[in-house]
Amino acid sequence: MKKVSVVLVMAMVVSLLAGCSGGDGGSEDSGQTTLTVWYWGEQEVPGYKEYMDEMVARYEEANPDIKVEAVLQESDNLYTAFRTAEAAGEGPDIQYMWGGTQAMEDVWKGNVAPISDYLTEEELSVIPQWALSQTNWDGKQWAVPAYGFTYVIAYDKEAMTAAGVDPENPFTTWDEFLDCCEKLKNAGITPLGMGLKDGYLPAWIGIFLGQQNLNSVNEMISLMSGEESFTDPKYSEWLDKIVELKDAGYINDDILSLDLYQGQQLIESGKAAMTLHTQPYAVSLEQSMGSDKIGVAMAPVYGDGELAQSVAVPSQVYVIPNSAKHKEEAADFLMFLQEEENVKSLYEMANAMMPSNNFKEEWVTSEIDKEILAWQAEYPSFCYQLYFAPMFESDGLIPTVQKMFSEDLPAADAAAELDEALAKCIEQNPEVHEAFLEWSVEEE
Amino acid sequence: MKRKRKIGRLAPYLYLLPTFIVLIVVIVIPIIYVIVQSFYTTFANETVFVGLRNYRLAFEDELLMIALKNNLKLFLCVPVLTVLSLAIASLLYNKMRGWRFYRSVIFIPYILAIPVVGIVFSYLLQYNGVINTMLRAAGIDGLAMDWLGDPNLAFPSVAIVIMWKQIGFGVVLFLARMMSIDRALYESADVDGATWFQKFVHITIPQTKSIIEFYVIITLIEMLSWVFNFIYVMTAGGPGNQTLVLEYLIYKKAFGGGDFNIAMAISVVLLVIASILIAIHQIVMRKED
Repeated sequence: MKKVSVVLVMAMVVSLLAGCSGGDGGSEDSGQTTLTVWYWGEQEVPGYKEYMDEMVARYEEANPDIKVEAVLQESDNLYTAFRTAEAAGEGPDIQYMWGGTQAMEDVWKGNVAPISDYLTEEELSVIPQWALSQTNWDGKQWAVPAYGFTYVIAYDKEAMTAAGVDPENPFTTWDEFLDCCEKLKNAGITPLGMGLKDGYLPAWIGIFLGQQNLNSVNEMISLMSGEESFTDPKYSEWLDKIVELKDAGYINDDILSLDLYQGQQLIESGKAAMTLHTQPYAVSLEQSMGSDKIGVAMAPVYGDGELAQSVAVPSQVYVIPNSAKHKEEAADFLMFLQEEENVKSLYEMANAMMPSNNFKEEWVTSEIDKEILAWQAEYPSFCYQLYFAPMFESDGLIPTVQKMFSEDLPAADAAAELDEALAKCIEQNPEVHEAFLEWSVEEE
Repeated sequence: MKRKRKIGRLAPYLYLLPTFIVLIVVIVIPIIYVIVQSFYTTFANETVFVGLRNYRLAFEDELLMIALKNNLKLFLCVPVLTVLSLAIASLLYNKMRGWRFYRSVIFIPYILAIPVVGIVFSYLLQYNGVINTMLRAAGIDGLAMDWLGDPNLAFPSVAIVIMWKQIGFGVVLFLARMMSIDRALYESADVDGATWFQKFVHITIPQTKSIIEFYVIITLIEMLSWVFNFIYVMTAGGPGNQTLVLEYLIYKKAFGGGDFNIAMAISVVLLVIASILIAIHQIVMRKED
């Protein structure tokens, strides 16, 4: 009896070890390749999930030997799940990332495979050079756009009318913006609805206000490389503007209690007149609430830099992780998304414009999109957040701006804290920082 | 015969082997890996030995001190939890009316999932959330605070939620021990005319001493390395790092910034502190034995 139980124990040990040894997921059991896509986007591009489901269906129909498993991620999980999986060598075949340094950080850390190893220059030529350059480094292309969008100030036209502000042209300059806010406040309407709790907002504010005294990308790179200081008014005036808005009571009183998207939703619930939004989300509001209800505006101009009146048009991107098991198939799927019919579907289903030569402006029907395309044609494009040094946002910008609201931290002290945080980020990640500088110079 | 005896001698070890392998794979190897990696840095898939650099950077980073201080502040919850749990357990032990019902009610928060508790309380505690709306409706606007947004209130608010969640464990633990105390001790004290407080101090506390010690050590360890979910869901370490704790800092460094090696160095610091507490626990338990 004892002998039998010992044999049983041995069998358990063997099966345990066999279980631990794992495998490659057995995706090819039926001769079918399973392509895993981890993506995000529904929060800023409503309809993106529906679009992705449609793309998967179309791709599977065209490629019966490939099954695509597209998994929608939450904002908090987007990077954590990927980095955990990648550290274990079990990443997806395609990973969605936010653009600029937020994607390049993982490239520099070795988590991403160069996409140009799997796609020819000719294949990539469907994507405009300006979009490719955002993720080009060391002579290689590391990502392709998932979609592009423009940052806008979305506002409630009815609230503007009620406050005595012209709903079609509420403001252009900073003074006009303050005047607009004052009128809204006097009418009992909260001018700006925002949420700071989850920490995404500070970068958004920076995108609207941070670049206004800059003349070129070079100046931003000088700032992020530590050559220039946030204490220079040229780089910190936007922090004064935050204090100005806060002290005047133009921002919702529960900003510290709300997440970014909860703050944005205040405009939908009629609790605020304006918020910072993405163009696809603003268009979805235009579609659901009517173009007579929702309007968009560019950031109010206070600065005197050449980028004062610029438009932020970043691209979110897809990368092929280093651990991806089906890199060629992944590249093929990404190029499939760039086909004209699919680029059109992205716009029709999710209001997002793909940075692609296959995108046709004649498809645009939304009043908001027409206005935004006119901005893009008239003003330079610059996105402040794309040039953040690695770790600067999480370790510097987020806590500092939160302190400006929670502890009434003066703008000058906030600028000094940003300098300190940046110096720490550079010291803690010297290799990544060096790569960042190389990339930004190439980008320039 | 000899072979049978040999198998007989080996049998207990063989029975233990599966568990042993699981412990090695799931606990020992990852810990060793983390300790080793804390001396390296990784860049572009190349891992380079950097000695104590990650530890130096971690200790030079004010965030580590902020997080450590916050964990130490959470230790203040332990005496509060212990005293409250003992007091409530004692009340229930005296068979107050409906004590079984109250015991269940007090234990319910303990069995709720932390994310659920965190989400519910983060909505309740919003500046324009349920609690403040009720306070304003009752005409006491002055008490309507930004519970999670005010730097002075955010940490105490989270600490109170943690205590609310955890108190049930202490109550049930102490109550179970009290119920096994010999009733004759209380009856003798009654004959001697002892008051409730005298009985509590001279009988209940000494009789539950070993459980109190166990509870204090376990709760200290929990306050050090088991509060991540509360912080993650309720405040994300904010506002302005006011509620940052060691676990959340490790998460932020590793998964927010992708700086796994510094995160591993901080993990080792946390491991050392937790190990010291566990050692104290072991010493105390051995003394009790």
